[in-house]
Amino acid sequence: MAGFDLGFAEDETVRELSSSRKEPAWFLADRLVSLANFKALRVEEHQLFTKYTDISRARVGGTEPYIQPAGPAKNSEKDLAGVSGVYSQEEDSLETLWLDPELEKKGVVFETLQNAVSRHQQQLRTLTFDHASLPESDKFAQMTKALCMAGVVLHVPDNVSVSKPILIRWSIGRENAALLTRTVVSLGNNSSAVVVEEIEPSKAAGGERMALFGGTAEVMLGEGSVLKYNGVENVGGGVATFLNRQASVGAGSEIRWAFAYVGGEMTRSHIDSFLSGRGATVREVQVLYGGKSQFFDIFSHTRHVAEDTVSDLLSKGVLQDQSKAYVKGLITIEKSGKGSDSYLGEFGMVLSRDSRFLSIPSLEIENHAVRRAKHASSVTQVDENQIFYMTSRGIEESEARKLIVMGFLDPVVARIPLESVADRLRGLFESKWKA
Amino acid sequence: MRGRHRTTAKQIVDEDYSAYDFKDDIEYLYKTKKGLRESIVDEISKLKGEPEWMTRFRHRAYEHFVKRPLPTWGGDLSALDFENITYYAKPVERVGKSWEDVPEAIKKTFDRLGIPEAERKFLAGVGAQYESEVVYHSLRKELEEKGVIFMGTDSALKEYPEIFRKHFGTIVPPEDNKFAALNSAVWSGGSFVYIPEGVVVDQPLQAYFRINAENVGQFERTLIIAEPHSRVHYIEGCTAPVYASASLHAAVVEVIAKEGAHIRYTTLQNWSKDVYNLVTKRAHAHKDATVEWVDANTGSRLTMKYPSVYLMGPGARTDVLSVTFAGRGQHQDAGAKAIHLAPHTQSRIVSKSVSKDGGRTTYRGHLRVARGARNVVASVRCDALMLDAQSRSDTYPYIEIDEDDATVTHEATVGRIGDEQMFYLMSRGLTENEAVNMIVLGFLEMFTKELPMEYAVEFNRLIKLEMEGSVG
Repeated sequence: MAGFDLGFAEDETVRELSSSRKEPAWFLADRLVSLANFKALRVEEHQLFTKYTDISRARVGGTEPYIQPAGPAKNSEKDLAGVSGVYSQEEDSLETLWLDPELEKKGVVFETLQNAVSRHQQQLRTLTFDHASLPESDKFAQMTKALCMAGVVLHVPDNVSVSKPILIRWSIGRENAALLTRTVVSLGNNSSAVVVEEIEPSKAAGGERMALFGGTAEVMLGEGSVLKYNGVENVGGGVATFLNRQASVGAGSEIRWAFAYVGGEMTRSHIDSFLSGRGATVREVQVLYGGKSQFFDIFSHTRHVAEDTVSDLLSKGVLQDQSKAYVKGLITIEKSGKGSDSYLGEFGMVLSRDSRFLSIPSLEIENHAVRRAKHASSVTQVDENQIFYMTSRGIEESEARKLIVMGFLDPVVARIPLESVADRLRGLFESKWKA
Repeated sequence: MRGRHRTTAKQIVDEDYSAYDFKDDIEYLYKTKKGLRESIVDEISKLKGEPEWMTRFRHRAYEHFVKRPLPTWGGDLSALDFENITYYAKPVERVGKSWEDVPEAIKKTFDRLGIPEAERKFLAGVGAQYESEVVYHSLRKELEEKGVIFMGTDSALKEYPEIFRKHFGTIVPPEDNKFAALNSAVWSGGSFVYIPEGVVVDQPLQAYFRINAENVGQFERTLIIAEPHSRVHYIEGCTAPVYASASLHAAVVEVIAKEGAHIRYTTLQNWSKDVYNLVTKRAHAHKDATVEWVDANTGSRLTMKYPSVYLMGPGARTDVLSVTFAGRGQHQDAGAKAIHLAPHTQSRIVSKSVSKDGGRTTYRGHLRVARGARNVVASVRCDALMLDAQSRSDTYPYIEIDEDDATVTHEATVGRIGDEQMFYLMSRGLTENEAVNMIVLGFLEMFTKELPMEYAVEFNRLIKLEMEGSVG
């Protein structure tokens, strides 16, 4: 396992980033601690996976960071139908920042990390120093925390329901550019929200040299709240993407993660869910579709800390051409996690001889009083009998194959809580199939 | 009712442990100094009068052992002190031909372990290892006539040098892992089994291993070769006296099933609870051959053992059945590996584990379908039963697929005994203890029914003993 060097990951870069954003001293100190962690950590610290981590595709050591902060949003008053708020950034430029004024009146906060650091210093400090802040043992989470160049903060107070989605969009891919971003979402008690995060190619995308994107999400849910967090990664080729999403879920709250990974040269995604309040729930679906020489490294770690917590995790991947995927999962039921119920499923469909699928669905159970702890995994291919049946019914063979592949993914896609996201994904998968 | 039952169970415990937990005063003819140095490797080889290639093999292994770091995964090896282990002890001068030739004190030990009786009843042959040297071996006449070889590995090196050298170390090279390297450097004893082409051995061959003196490591080396279309079932069972400080058992088992051969290897591991049991077991299954590992681990402080099968030829198959039981202070880190290297190969892995009183069971498995292994069918199933809140159960399956037409499934569940089950059984007049025993034995039945009857009886009794005190 090779190491990972990032040329600009130095103290002076961190200080420059911090001073040009006029950050308070504690924030800079936090960055510096993370930088030291980043340098000290190995690419994979988890002993279970040391042999099964590969970042050799991320040739991004020479990328250049966006030092200067984004200016004020170009569009701020735009009323967008179907959404409650929009944060849209293209490379280093903030395109849109908008929140439904009705929500603003109710106390919902939606603004850049840079503003939040100065305006809501105390709250943010509590949030980002919380035990559930980004994992200290994860090199790439620490990379983004140390060197983040942009970020967005969403806070929904108690008893407020944000019914329409909040859209966060990162458009990236300019050659040799590095963009590292942090997203912080907190919900009080008995509130709800829907977040849709899109990672897409920018107008400047493309070129010979690779681009780097690092994105983290730190989610805190109070009691009795529900957050649906949907993410679609569909960057162009030549981008290495490092994603870390983490949630601390309070009593009776529910996080519903739904992630799709479609684009990029290399995608590494880690999800950490802490079920820390009694009856907390995580429902997670992940779907990936690899083609050409794409590589995906997907890991989700769910910790049942409190009693009567529930996790239900399902990942599916389709691989064609020379693509490769490592799909890793770990459910930990701690001593305190009495009465927990967990399911972890990892399923792959392999369409070509040159593709490769690895799954490691692991369980660590430290309490016998579980209601259910189960995992399942399978790797299959297109069933020739099904093809025969369908062609004998007059369906063209190529169409039959497509239907079977789409049919394999669809049960996961259908569980994505937002219909518009699900539909968009179906379109993305179909076009990938055609390619 | 409950009270009476417990007293009975306690009596059984006392009786039974008295049968297993003893230590004989054996005079060792030869014992190396504690700790491992290159000179000790030489000494062992010289003492055994080995050919030069074996001495070189031992040295090559020793060099690797020194260089190789301890594994950082698996169980806790921090209390393992390589310097405090005697790597070779020789209790008797030569291999006994018949029961009468075996020294009285050793005979007594075997009597108490019940070996001669077992042999009379159903065994085709007995290889009993006392310390590091095979002291007793017999093989039924008819098998000898068929050309079956079943003897101590040391003797085989001398008597069948060609077959031996052709196969030894080809399945598990010394560089495989630190403990395989250690074994290769200091190995002594173990069984050598050779089944000629087309010969079917109906009854199981049995070897009984036992560690006797404190800190005497046991590094047996077993090699089983089944020529084309032959068939054999080999059984090993272990018991060891209880001692306070750590003993080490690091065996290497190599199994070769040639075209169309069928090998079943059954292990009942019941080392005392202070033994580190770090074993490398691997088989090659060639064209249309079948290898079955039936592996039960109830004893030891820490077991790290993952019987593996390399499916080398088209049509090869394997079945692995792994059972572990971890009580207080025990960690059973076991599992299986199936490496599919040829087309139309099949594997099935079933793991059943029980943990109680703070014991920890870990399933660690590797299922790999390599490029070129078309039309593979493979399945893994792991079930864990946890009996209390202090225990722990982990499942770490690695599934790696490099082909586009493999059918691979994996399933695992971890659970406890349901209140409804208990209520039902107790409403039928069973005590709590009896009900728990019945459920646990039922959970493990898939394993016990694969054993010869005598072993099944012994295994069930063992589990009941281990279960004593788990309720209330």
